[in-house]
Amino acid sequence: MPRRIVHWLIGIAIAAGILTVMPLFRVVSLEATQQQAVAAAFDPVAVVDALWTDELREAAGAAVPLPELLTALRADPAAAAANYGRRLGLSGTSAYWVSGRGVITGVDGKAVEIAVDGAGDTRIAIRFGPVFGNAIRDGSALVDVSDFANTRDFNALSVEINRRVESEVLPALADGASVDRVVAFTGGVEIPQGDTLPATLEIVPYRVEFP
Amino acid sequence: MSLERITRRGLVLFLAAGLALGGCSGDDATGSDAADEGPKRVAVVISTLNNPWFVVLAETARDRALELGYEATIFDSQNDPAKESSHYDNIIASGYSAILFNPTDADGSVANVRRAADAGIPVFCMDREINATDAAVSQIISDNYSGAVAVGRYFVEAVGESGKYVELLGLVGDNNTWNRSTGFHSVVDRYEGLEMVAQQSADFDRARALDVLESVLQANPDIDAVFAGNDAMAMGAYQALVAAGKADDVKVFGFDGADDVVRLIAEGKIAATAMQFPKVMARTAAESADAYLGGKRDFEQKMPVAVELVTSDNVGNYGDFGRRQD
Repeated sequence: MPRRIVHWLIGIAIAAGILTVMPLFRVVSLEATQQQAVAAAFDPVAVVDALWTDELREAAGAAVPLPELLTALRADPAAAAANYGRRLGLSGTSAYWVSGRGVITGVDGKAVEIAVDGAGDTRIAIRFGPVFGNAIRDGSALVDVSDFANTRDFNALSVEINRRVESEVLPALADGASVDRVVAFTGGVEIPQGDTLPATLEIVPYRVEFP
Repeated sequence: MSLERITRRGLVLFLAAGLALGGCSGDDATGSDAADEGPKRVAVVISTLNNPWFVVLAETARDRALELGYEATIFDSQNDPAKESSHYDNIIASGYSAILFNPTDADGSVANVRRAADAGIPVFCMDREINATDAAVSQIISDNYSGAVAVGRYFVEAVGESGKYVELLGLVGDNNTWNRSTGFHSVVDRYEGLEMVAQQSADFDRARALDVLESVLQANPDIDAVFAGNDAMAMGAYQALVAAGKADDVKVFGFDGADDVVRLIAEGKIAATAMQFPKVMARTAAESADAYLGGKRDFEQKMPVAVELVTSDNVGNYGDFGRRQD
């Protein structure tokens, strides 16, 4: 074989070897790239903007009346959780999206207590803040953790939702709340695992009205 | 030996190597055939075994896979993404049927999971997630954020609304580190009187936490509390406080539910931890892999597992890395 051809073959072989180990480009799936871009650009304020003004407003009409939920929970907690609640993964806590109406029986610097017809022995309260937890995010069932590239983004939604509750809902409640006044509310509530209803249910309100 | 003979040999070797590489890249069928001859094999890839909590996660996953009729092998990544990648090379080349995976890095581990998926090996993440929803079959992960919110609320209750504290972070590339930190701060930062005088990473490691806190105490001898992002670091912090004679004055809060911390909570020496459920997660991952290999395909991509606050009030309900009845 002529020496020049051998050199060419050697050169091609070496180049092929180098390109195999260090390719000039790499094929990446479009979906993977889009996910990375979305994760990098995640803006919880923008997501909650849409959620707050459109989706939660629409969902408000579908909230379960609180007396109906409490009756179901007393009769069969597991069935009530399956019918009305939402559990995140293997969580023991169920979140519910509820509506109610009642008479304010107490107000102090921290919370308002409401007597809701049909609530029985369970006390209903709304704290003036600060708001923690995932009652609205999970209770409304409008977002799915599996749609998020990472749980940091998913959790950032709760932080932003809770901030909205503190800045846009609770001030009106604090201004208008007085004993014997009727108040209507829609919001989320989290109930820990167990067959016993807590003595007090704390509602995290999305909407509060004084009819 | 002439140059021509050398280059001929070189060419032959190169072509042989190429054929061998080609054989490797197309050896799925070979690997499967080999696996079909005996019990299918499941790989358990763990970020580190230098922490009892992860040992429980690994051994429970392995043992459940064995119970389900698989051969199972544990691979220790030693918190090193390069080692983890090397494990994946071996696992893919060896024709394993499934991987139960505890990643070292939420971003960096994604490529490994994709390589396994491309080779037809399903991956099930345990405890820690990866930053992708199209690579693993399912991710069974601790709901760290909610657990840390619970720890934060108890922290305010136990320490009060004013005081100085130190935060020990875990691995900075791990989402769990930040889910715990942001969950904790989403509560504690609402109280202006609570001042964080230092925030340092100790890599989820007990010995590093001991060193870090000893150093922090020199500059800040008057702290009231320590929030550690896992129980190994909580133990290291407690050890530093004992050595400094401050264990009775400084409240330590951990995260994980490790047996030694649960015991110290019962003895009143550590304030609280957040119980994760490594056995639940490991068993669920192994059972999911078994269901997948049996033909099931509809899995939740992310499956958070609740994390529960453990304090002196309820510590009797917990032990052995879970609830007593687990």
